[in-house]
Amino acid sequence: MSDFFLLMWKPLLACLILTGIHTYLGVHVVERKVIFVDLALAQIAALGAVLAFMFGFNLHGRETYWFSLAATFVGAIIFSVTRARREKIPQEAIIGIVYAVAAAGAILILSRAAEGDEEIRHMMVGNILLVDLREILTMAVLYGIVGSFHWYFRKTFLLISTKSEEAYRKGIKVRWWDILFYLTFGLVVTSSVHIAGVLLVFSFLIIPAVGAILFSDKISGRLFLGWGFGILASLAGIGLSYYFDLPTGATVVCVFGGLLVLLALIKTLFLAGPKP
Amino acid sequence: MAKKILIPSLVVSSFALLFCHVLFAADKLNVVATTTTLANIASEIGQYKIRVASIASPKQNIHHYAPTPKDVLKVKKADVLIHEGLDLEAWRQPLLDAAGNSRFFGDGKYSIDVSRGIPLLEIPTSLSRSEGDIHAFGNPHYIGDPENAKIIASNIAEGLTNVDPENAAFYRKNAASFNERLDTKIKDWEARMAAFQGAPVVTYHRSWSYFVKRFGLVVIGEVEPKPGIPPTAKHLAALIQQIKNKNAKVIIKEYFEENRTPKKIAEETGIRIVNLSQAVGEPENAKDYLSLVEQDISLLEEALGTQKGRVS
Repeated sequence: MSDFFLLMWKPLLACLILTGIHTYLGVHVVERKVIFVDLALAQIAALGAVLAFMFGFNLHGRETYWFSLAATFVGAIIFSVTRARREKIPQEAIIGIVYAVAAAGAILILSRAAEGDEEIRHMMVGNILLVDLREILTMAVLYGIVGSFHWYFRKTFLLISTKSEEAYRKGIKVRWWDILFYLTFGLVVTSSVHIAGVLLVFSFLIIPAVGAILFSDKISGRLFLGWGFGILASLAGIGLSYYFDLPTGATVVCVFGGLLVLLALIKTLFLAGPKP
Repeated sequence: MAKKILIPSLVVSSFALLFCHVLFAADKLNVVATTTTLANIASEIGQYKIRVASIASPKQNIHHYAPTPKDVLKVKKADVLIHEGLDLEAWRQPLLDAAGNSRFFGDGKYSIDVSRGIPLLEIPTSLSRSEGDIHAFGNPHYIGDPENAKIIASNIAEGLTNVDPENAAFYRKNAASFNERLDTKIKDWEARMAAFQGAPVVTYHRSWSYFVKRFGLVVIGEVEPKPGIPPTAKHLAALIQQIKNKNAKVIIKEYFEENRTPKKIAEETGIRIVNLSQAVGEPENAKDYLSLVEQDISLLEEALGTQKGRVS
């Protein structure tokens, strides 16, 4: 047992921090129906890193980080500009296109450059098991700032995500708030993906939010349920990964999925009341 | 009645055994090696004086291995770490950081870098970052040349001696004996490969540079010039042309590398695909370094030999 905590406290702490911010953002993302936006933003961030690499910067250097961030911001602007009040083209289509083009762009650039592909792949895979304390602290501070910002403006952000039509009617500048939303979202996702990898970040974002929607219609209820779900799944995933010696990130993702199925079963078997 | 005595005596004796085990275990050095091949060579040298564990699975690309919780634990509890140095194990530093075993901070005597003294190939002439930062020190797949395995064995013996000077003679004697056995085998392998001197071959990735140099083969091209990037149509066409022009006999690839592109090339040219390995335990009957290279040589001999007899 002591070995468990000795080894796993850092990944566990990282998972808890990820749960905190991503469950919240996930509630937004699910409401906005832009499920894959984090994959697209992560891919754009990787494209930025590849560009920096092409210009001769070190892949782990500060300049590369700024390149990634700048690319993410370009993505954020694309996603906020392409959202229309009455949409003819679904936003998911734009997200898919951005994802595919960014991924292909990275391959194109790399085919002209020399090696370095492994490093790029690593950017998308991450390894939560090997997270170090400095990364955890950076994450805690950064997400704390983003979280407080969202908390302060929670009414506007939530109104736009849940009832956009009402927000438009009230004269809120939805486009500017969208840019703010995607900027902060991009900042979080870029940093998380680097540490935990695309799959894990996607799961932290979407699965607790979906699980919570099964049981609650209120935003606050969904948030607390989502956090509970995330904490439970993180603990179980990290535990299983340790006791069965399985790759940590993938185990946590599967536990998230398994827990969601379990919740859905409980809901249909025991809680299915008469539908209004 | 007999049962009454049997069970307590079993319990007592198993405790006694456990106690002995702990006692003897305490005498042994806990050695962790990054690869199965290094673990095998280390066990030849440390024998019963050390307990060896390895980290990366032999069935995966060594550059991309993702450590598991037990790997972190192994490093945490190890007395000695043996690694291939350079930038072969991209996951080594993060793993050491995660394990937090202070013996392995910096490059103290507890970390044995077996690449010391190995003549490296393909050292980049310019340190321009646009050339990639993957193999900045030179090609790290030096374990493919059995002559280098001798240097590795000596490095391990010296490394163990630094940590455990009492057994210096033991480690050095074992390294010398390993190297002697290796010398005999190398003579045999070289003799068998002599028939194929200068034979043109294609490799999948540049992981065979040391091997082909030792055994006198000539690499005329790589299936994938940049790892992970699919070969372009132009590159494939050029490679197929090269194979036809120079009458290359085999494509050397490792088990974990994809088979589709080599197959396509084989369909076009009739070239043979051979799966070789540098990792003990892949394939499963390659239980130690000697049988691993033996297997590689036999497979290659067979592939080159059959091609030779065939009218193309």
